Amino acid sequence: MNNGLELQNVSLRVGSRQLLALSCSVAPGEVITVMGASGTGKSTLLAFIAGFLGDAFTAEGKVFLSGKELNTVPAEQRRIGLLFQDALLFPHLSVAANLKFGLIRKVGESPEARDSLIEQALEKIGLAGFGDRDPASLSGGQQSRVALMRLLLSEPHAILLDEPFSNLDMQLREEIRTFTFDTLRAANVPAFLVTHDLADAQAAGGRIIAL
Amino acid sequence: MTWATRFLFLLLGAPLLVGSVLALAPAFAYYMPDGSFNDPLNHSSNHPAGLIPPAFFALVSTPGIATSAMTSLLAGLLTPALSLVSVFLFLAATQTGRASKLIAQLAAPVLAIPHAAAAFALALLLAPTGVASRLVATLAGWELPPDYLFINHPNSVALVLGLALKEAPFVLLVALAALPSTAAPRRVALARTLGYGPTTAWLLTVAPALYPLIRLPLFAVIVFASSTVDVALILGPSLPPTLSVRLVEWFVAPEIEQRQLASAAALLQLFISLSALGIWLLFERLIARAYATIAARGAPREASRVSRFEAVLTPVGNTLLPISLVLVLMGIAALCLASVGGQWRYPTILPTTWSLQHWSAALSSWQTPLFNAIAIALLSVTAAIVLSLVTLEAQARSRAGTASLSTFLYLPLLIPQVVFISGIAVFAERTRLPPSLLLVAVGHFFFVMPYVYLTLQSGYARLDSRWLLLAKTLGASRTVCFWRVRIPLMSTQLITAAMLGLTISLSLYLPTQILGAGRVPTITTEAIALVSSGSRGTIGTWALLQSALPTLCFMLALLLPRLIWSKRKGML
Repeated sequence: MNNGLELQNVSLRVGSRQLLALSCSVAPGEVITVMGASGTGKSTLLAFIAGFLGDAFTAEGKVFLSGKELNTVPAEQRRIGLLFQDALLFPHLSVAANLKFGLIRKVGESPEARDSLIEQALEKIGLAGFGDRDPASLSGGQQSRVALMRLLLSEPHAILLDEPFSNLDMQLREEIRTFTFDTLRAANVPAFLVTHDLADAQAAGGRIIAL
Repeated sequence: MTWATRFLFLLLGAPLLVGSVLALAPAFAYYMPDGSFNDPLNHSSNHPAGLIPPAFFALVSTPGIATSAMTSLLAGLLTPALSLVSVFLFLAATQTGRASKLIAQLAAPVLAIPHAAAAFALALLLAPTGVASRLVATLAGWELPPDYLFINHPNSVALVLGLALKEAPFVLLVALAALPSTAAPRRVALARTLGYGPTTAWLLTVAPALYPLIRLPLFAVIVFASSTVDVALILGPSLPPTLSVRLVEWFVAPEIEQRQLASAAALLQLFISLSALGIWLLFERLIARAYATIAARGAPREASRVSRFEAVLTPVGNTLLPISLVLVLMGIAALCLASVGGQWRYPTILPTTWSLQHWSAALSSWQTPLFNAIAIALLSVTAAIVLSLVTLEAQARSRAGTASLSTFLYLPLLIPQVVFISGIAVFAERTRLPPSLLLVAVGHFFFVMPYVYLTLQSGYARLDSRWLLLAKTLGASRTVCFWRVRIPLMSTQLITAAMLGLTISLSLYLPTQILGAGRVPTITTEAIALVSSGSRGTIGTWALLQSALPTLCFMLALLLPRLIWSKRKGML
C-alpha cells in the first residue's frame, strides 16, 4: 500500500532567514515539480525529505510516507530514493554490482535468482550483457539509465530528483528525460522533482510549485 | 568533540607528557651527604638540598658542551633554511611547469630513502677517496686523494648538507601539495602585467601565500634537524659530537650519574630545539617586514632592473634543487659500487676487482633484523590506520571539527625524539616493562601516526559526500557505507597512508635503539652500528639493504592501486 508522500507545514530556515514554507501531497505515479532560482532552498528541501539536513538549517513540519511519519527515521530506512545531477555509478563496482547494491534482500532468494533479476533489469534499460562492464566505459546516457534502474531496484516508496538532467547535453537530455518520466510513471511511486528548467517541469506533466 | 577524538588526544598526549617529564626529571636529583641521592620521582626522600641540582653543574662543566649545543642549533636552523630557499627558488624559477613535475617525480623516491642511508651515500660520494673525488682526479690527473676533512668536520657542513638533501624533497612535496590553493598562475600573471619578471613575481606574490601553508611541516624539520641522532652519528662532527648524540651516549651508559647528565642534556636539547623555533619565528618577522618594504618600493620601471634580479635568481632556482637530487642519486650509485667492489685503487672510478663477499656476509646475518623491522612496521602502522579510521569515522558521523586534532598530532614531531623517547624508556623501566619488539612498535606508533592520520584525513575530506548520501538512500547502513563505499573509494589513500607509515617505521633509528635497548636489532640499527667499522663495502651493502624495503613500499604505493583497479578506470 502506498498513499504517497505528504509534506505538512514544512518550513526551512537558515539562521533567522526563512528559506521556504510548503505543504503538499504527492500521489503514487505523480511527479510534482518544485521550481525556483538557485538559493531558494530547493536542494535543502530534498535533503530534509531524504533525512540528511545539514547542521546549519532548522526545519519545522512533518513528512509522511504511506501515512507513516518520517521525521525521526534515519535516511537509510526511509525508503526514499534520490537521483542526483550526475549518474554517480560507484566507480569500484561493475555495472551489475552497482545495480545489486540497492537490491532489497529477500529471504530464501538464491544468488542465481538475483543474477537473473539483474539481467532482466539490464534488458529493460537496453543494456543486456553489460553486467560485467566497468561503469567508466559506459556513455553518459547509459550511465543515467543504470543510475535510474539502480534506484528502482532498491524499491523506494518515493523518489526525489535533484535537477537530474542539468549535466546532460541538449540531445541526451531530451531522451533521458522521456525515459525517466515514463519509467517513473510505470513504477507508480510518488516523485518530487526540483529544477530550474521549465522544460523539465512540462515533461514531468504534474503540478508545478514555484518558490 | 567525539569520544574517539578525546581518546586519541589522551593516547598521544599522555605518553608525550609523561615521557617528557620522565626524561627531564632525573636532572633535578640531589646527592645527600651520606652518598645517596634525592630522586625527585621517589617521594620517600624529602631532603631539600642546594638550589641548583648537581647534574646541571656536571653538564655545564662537560668539555665542549657549548660547541655541541651550538652545532645542534645551527643544524636546526640551516637545514630548514637551505631546504626552503632551494624549494622556493626552484618553484619560482620553473613556475611549476614540466620541469617541476619531473623533479617532483624524482624527489618522491628520495623521500623514501632512510636518512641514514642517504647520509652514508653522501659520505661515500664526497669523502676524500669518494666517487666524486675520483671523478675529479681522473679529469685533473691527481695521483693521491686530496687532503680534506668532510665527514665529521667540526664545521658541520656534511651534517647540514646531508640533512638538507633529505628535507628539501620533503619540503618540495609539501609545497606542491599546498600550491593549488594559492592560485599561483593568476597571482604571477597579475604581477607580470605590473612589470615584474616571472621569478620575482612568484617570490613576491605566491611565496607569502604558500609559506603559511607549509609552516607546520617546516617546524617539524627544524626540530628534527636540531635533534637528529642517526645522521649526526654518520656525518656530524665527532670532537665534540652534537648534543643529541652525546645525550644518547650518556643515556645508555650504566652509571646513574650519566643518566642524570643525560636528563640535564635532554632539558638543554629541548631548550635548543625551542630556541631554533624561536629564532626561526624571529626571522619570519624580519623577512615579512623586508617583504613589505620591497612591495612598497613598487614595480621596477626600467627593464634593466627587472632582468638583474631575475638573471641571478632564475638560474640559481633552476639548478639548486636538481643538483641536490643528483647528489643523492650519485650517492646511491656510490653505495652500489662500494657494495660489490673488491679492491679499489684510488684514482680509478670503478672498483679494480668485483666481489660479492659483502653481500654474502650481510645475507648471513640479516634475517632477524629484517623480521624485526617488518614486524615493528606492520604493528605500528596497523595500529595507526585502525585508530585513524575509528577517529575519522566518528568525526564524520558527528560532523565535529577536526582542525585542533591535526595540529595536536604534529606534537610528536615538534618535541625532540631523544627527549620524548628516553622518557618513555624510563617509564618502561619503572613499570618493569622489559625492552621488547612490542615496546619498540609502541614507540614507532607515535612517529607513524601523524603521517598516517593526516593522509587519511585528506582522504576523508576529499571523498565526495554524495557517495554516502546515495548509498544511504539505497538503504545501506552505516556499516555497509563504511566497508563497501568509503573503504573501496578511499583505497588509494589507504595504500598511500600504509606505505608512508611503513617507510617511516622502517627508517626509524632512535626509538628502536633506545626502547629495544640494543636487543631488538633492525636493518636500520644494524646499518648505523657499522658507522665506526669504516668498511666501505659493508656500509654500502647495509645502506642499500636499509633502503630496499622503503623503496619497495614506495613502488607499491604507486603500483597497487593500478593493479587492484586495472578494470575500473573511474578509480584511477
